[in-house]
Amino acid sequence: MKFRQLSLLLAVFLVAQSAFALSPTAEFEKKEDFGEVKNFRHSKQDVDLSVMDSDLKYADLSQKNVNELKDLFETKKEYGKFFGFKDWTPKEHKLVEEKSQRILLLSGNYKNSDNKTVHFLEVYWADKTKSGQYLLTSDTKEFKLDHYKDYLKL
Amino acid sequence: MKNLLLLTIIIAFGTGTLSASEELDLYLKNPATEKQACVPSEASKDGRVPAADACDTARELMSLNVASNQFQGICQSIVKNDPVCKKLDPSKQLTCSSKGLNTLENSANAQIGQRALACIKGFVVDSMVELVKFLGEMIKLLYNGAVNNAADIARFFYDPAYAAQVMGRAGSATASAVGKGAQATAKAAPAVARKAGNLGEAFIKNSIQYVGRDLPKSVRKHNGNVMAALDETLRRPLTKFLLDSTEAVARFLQPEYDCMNGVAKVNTVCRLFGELVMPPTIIFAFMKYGVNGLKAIANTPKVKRFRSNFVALNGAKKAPPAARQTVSAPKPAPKPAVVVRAESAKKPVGKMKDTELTELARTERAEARRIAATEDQVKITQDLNAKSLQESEQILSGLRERAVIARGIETGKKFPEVEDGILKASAQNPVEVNLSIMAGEDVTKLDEALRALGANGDGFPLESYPPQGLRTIKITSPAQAKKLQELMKQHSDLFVSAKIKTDLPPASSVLASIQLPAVDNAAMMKMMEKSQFDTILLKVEAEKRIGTATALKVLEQNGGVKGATQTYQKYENTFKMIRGRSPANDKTSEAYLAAFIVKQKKAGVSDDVIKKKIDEAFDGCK
Repeated sequence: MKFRQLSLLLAVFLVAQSAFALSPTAEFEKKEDFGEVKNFRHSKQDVDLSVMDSDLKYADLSQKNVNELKDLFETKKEYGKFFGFKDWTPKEHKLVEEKSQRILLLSGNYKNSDNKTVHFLEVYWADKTKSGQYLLTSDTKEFKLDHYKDYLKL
Repeated sequence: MKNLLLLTIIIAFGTGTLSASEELDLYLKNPATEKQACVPSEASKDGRVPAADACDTARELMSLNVASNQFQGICQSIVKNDPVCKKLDPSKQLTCSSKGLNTLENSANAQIGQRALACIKGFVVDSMVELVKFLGEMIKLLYNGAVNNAADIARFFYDPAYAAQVMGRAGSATASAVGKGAQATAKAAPAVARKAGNLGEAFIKNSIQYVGRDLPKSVRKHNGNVMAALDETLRRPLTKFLLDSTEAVARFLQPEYDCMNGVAKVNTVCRLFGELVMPPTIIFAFMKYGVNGLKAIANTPKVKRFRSNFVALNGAKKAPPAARQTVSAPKPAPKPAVVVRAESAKKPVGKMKDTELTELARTERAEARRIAATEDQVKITQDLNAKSLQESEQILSGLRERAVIARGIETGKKFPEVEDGILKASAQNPVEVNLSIMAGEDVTKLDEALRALGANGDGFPLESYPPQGLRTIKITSPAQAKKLQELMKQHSDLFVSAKIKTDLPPASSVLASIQLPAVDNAAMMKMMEKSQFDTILLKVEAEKRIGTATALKVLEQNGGVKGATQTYQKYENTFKMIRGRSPANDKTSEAYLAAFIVKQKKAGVSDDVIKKKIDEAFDGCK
C-alpha cells in the first residue's frame, strides 16, 4: 500500500475514532430536552438517562482531583435540596482508566421532590479529544458502578 | 451530622446531666434511642398514652406522625410532666387539641406561617453582607441571576407576585430555556468547585441534570406551567431551608422552643430576628458552621442576654443554675479571631461589655464618617463632574502609577486593629442595624426612646414586631403609662399616626395599647435599599477603610443608594485590588476608581468594557 493511501486510511481511522463518544444504548428512547440536557428513558429497565456536554479534559479525571472532589460531596448535598434532590448520598466511587479514556463513576441515592428514593449513577467520561457527563437514575433499581456498561457504549 | 450535633446540644440543654460529648457517645452507641422512645404504645381506656411509653419530649412528639387523639394524650402528658415544658408559661405551651397549631410551616393557622415568613424576610435584610451574597449566589444559581441585591432577595421570599415575576423570567416560555439559563449560571456560580478544577465544576454543574430529570415531570404535572413547577421544585425548598434554619437557631438558643405552641413559636422567631440585637452573627454562624458555629458563640454576652430576655418575655421560669451551666459547658467562651485593642479603652474587644462595644462602634463610626466627609471627597466629586470622559481615563492611568509605587512599599494588613471585633460590635448595635431597617428612622428613634424608658433596661415589649402593619405596645402598669405620656409629650413628632386603643376588656391586665404607624411596602423597599447600602458602609467604616467609604459616597452621589450598592458589589474585587495596591492610609485611590467607573458608565460604557479597561491598566502591575 502506498504511503499516501496509508495516510488516508489513518486519517479516516482518526476521524472515525474522534466521532465516537459514550452514548446511550439502542434501547433508550429519546425524551424531551431540558436546555443542554438531553433526556432518554429505558422503559424496560426503568432507567432514566440524562446526557450533557462537558468541558472536562482527560487530565481532569485524575486520582488527585477525585480525592479533592470528595470535599465537594457535602456541598452538593447542601445545594441538592434546592435543586429538588434532597439527602443526596454517595455510596461508591471509582476512577476507571482503560485504553485512552478515563471514567469517574459515582453511585448513591437521593430523595426527589415527592420524597421518594431515587438511585443514581453519575458518569464523567473523557478521552484525549472529547468528554461527556451522564446521569443514570432509577426509582426502582440500585446501580453498581459497573452497570454503566449496560447503558452506555462507545 | 448537623442534626446529630443539634440533638446533642438540645439534650445537653434539656437535661443538664451529661456533657455534649457524653451525649454524643450515647447517641452513637444507640442511634435509634430517640425514635424508639417515641413510638406510641397502645392507648389506655381513656385514650391517653402514658408519656413514659411514648414520647418523652415535645420535640419527639412533634416529629412523630400520630393520630390526633393520640397526639392529645401524649401532648397533655408531656406538658404536664416534662421539666423543660413546665418552665414555660401555660399560655405559651403546646396546644394539645391540634398538632397543626404548634408548627410554623403548614400551620393550621395560616397567619402563623405568613408571619414567620415575614420575620424571616427581616432576617434576610438584616443580615450581613456575606449572607446576602450567599443567598444572592444561591438564587442566581437557581433563577438565572434574576435577583442580585438584598432588597430583591427579601422581596423574593415575602412577595409572591415578585417571586412569580422572577421565576417567570427564569422560566420564560419553555422548560428548555430554564435549563439553558440554569446551566449557564451553575457553571459560573459555585466558586467552591474550583478546588477540584474542571472536575469539581462538572460535578456541581451536574446538578442541572437532576433538575432536568425531574422538572419536565413536574411541568407535566402542572399542565405545562413552568412557573408553578419551579415554585414547587426550587423556591419552596429554599424557603423551607430558611425557615428550618431559623427554627434550629431558636431551638438552640431556647430549649423550651419545642414545647411552644405555634403563636409562641412565631413570636420567638420574630423576636429572634427583631429584638435580639445580633441576628446576623447568630444566623451567619449557623449557616456557615452549623451547630458548631452556634456552640462557639453560646457564651457570648449577647446570646446570654437574649436568653434572659427571652425568658422574661415568654414568662418562662428561670432554669436552675446547674442546668444552665451545662448549656454552655461544652466549650469555653471563644476568643475573637483577632484580639482588637480599642484605642480609647485599650482593652481587647472580646473582653468588653455590651455597652462598651456599642459605644466603641459608635465612636469608630462617627470618626470614620468625619474623615470620609473631608475635603477629599468634595474635591473628588467636583473633579468628577468637571472632567470629561477622556480625562477620566487619566484618573485610571494615575491610579496605575500609584499602584506601581505602592507595590514597593506594600505593608500587608493596613489596619490590623480594626478587624472582626469592631465590625461585630457595630453589627450588634440595635439602632444602626436592626430597627432602622425595619421601621424607618423616626420609628427607630421611638423604639430607642421606648427601650430607654423601660424598667431595668428592657423597655416596653413590642407585641407585634417587626412585620409590616401596625405594631402594638402594651402598657401594663401605671408607671409605664406615665412614662409613655412623658415620652409622647417629649417626642410628639413621632406619634403623629399613633393612637391609644381604649376598647380593651375591663378585666384586662393591659391598661392601654398604643399602635404605631404601619410601614407601606414601597417605603419599606426604599428603606431596604438604603439599609443595604448602610450595611456595606457600616462595615467599611467600622474597618476604618476611609478610602472605600469615600468611594461609596462618590458612588452614592452619582447613582443613589441603589445604584451605589449595585456598582460597589459589581466592582468589589476591583476595589479590593486597588486597596491592596495603594499605600497604607491612602484615602483617595478607591474614590478615584469610583469616579472613573461613574464617568464611564455615564458615557454609556458597559461594565464589561470598563472592567477590561481597568484590567488592562493594571496588567503591568501583576
